[in-house]
Amino acid sequence: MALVEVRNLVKQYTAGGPNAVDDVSFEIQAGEIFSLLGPNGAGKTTTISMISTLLRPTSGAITVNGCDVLGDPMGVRRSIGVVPQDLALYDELSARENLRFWGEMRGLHGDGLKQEIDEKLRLMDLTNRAADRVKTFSGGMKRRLNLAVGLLGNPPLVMLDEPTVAIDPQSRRYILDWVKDMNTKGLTVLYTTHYMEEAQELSHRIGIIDQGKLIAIGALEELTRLVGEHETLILTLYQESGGTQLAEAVAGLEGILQASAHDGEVVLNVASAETALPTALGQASLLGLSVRTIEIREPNLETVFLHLTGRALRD
Amino acid sequence: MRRLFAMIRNEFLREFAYPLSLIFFILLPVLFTAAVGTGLSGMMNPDESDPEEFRTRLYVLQADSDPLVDAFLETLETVNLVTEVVETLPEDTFGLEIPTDFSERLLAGSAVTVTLHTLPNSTASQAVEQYVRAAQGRVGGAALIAKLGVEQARATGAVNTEAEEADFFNHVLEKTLEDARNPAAVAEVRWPEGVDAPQVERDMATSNEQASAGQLVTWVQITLLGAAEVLVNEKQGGTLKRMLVCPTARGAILTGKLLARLALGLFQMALLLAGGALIFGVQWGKDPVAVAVISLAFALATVGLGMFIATIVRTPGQANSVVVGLSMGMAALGGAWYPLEITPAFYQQVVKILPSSWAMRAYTDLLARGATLVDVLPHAGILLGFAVLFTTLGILRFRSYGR
Repeated sequence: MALVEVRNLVKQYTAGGPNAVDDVSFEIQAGEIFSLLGPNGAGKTTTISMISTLLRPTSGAITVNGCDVLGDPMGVRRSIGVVPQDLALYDELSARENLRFWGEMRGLHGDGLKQEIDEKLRLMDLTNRAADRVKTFSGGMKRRLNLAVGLLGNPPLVMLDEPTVAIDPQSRRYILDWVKDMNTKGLTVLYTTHYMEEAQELSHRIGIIDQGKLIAIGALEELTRLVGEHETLILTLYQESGGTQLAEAVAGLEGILQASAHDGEVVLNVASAETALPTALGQASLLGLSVRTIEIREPNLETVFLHLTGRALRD
Repeated sequence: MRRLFAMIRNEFLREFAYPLSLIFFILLPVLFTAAVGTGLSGMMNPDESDPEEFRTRLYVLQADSDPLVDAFLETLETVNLVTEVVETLPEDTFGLEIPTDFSERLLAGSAVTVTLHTLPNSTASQAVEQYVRAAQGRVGGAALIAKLGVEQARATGAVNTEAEEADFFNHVLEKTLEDARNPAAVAEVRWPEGVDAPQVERDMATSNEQASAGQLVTWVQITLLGAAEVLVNEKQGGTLKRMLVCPTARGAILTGKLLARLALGLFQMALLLAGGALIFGVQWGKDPVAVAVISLAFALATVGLGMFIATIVRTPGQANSVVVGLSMGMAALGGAWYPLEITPAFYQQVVKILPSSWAMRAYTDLLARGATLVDVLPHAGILLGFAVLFTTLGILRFRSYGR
């Protein structure tokens, strides 16, 4: 049996309004890292909020570890650890005081709690800052403590909601390595992100979500197969504002299946880079645009997203 | 239960994370109590030996001066009045006319009529009349003693001339009045064992009592309504969401937050009650249980209101404005900054919609009127009614909080 089962999940914030999550279904097996990948506002946080019992679904069903989110919300909460996108810590308290409070809120106490606090501090390399107030911590240290709180009680499933937003590359690397390491020790992870590279690096399976709908799901190889034997051609222009113009000009030309532009970069989904490149360069020249770099990529999640939605993941 | 204790401990740790918070928690309330107490003392403490500027001024019109009239004026000064001899009595002031035959009639043992001009709408009129009567009685009694002394001295040949008689009279008069002011012995009244001495009832609390109770209500209100700020900050900071995904029921989280803030408010109340007693000499009535019941009921009503506000406001800035505005407004209107007794009857009725006014009524009854638990139970009942109303509204709104 899957650890998480989501069936036909719908969330409508206002009656008659748009669906923030629209008929989403997926499963997460125990021991898996499952990523929900999608742009900002796609419905990732809303989905995770319903799984964690914070939001009530408008319709559909969710079970976690055999517990229904509506019928047995306490059972669900006992089975999950949540690492929210924003830091949810008490700045004026020390790291140890924070862990103690959140541990007690999860029902831990006594020696068990003390041991677990020590273990989490060690795990996050925060032992020698345990007594310091969180407000004196760097952004990366706060993120690590935020993760540690989500692990208290050793729940079978941990949900991480965009944990690497707005942090330095070193802390980001630490978090990604940590997720992989914890997964090898048996932890099941539900990870949301809008960074394709993170989903690609971490996940056993990926669900691509856009405008509330789950538009594709599977392992990386399965998803890239959706694009077919295509290639991605990326042209970087000297004139940032010319990207959209070029994308519109080349769209539909022979051998160019899809085109989108973002920050002076034109991303083309092409049948063959060899034949599409002269066409694209010719159009750029006609428009008076100068190409700075040319990159040819194998299909990846960016290509998949472009293929499925007609837009770049970052749009 | 452990989770509730964790939430209470967390609230205390965060409140006192920085020593600066002690300034607002205890130091400022004590300083304000001292300041307000001093400010009110002129208006509310007729029986205390206050500085001259706080005592009632009495203008005196006297036909002539002699030792008895002088003694009368001196005695008026000793009973909490400031006298000023004038040739014409000013209007709209307290004035006293002393007749020309004042001394003559006093020495003859006849009734003397002095004319007192009072202010019809002043609460001090009755007190001034009492002071004048008291001074008149003291001087009259002393004059009779001196007169009898002179007769005895004359009979025994101790005085022979009129000048010696006058000296002797003045000496005895002065000595008698002085002794009356500083009696060598006083009688102590003891009540049989098991019988409570009746407490002297007053219309109003003294300045220190009013200030202590009023500042307690004001500052504890800020702490307890601060529940709104705490909850909104937790919502904004994401810690409330994190709490809501812990294996703890929503009701328990709200109860925990309520109890945590309530415990903080009660702790501050206990400090201010003790501070009022130790620093300002306030005796919090004769029934400590009644004081505890009123304090708890007021705290419950206020923390419930704080929780309700938390479910209405959206940002910490809004919460702060509402908390400060409501705390100050309810304290000022509810009689925490001045006695409700000096306000018009209509006003006193209108402010009954405020929990603070019920707390102040109850504290004043306990402090000044010797009220017991039974007497203040209606006040406590109304405060608990406020608590139930606000908390119910808060719970109803909290159930859908964030959903």
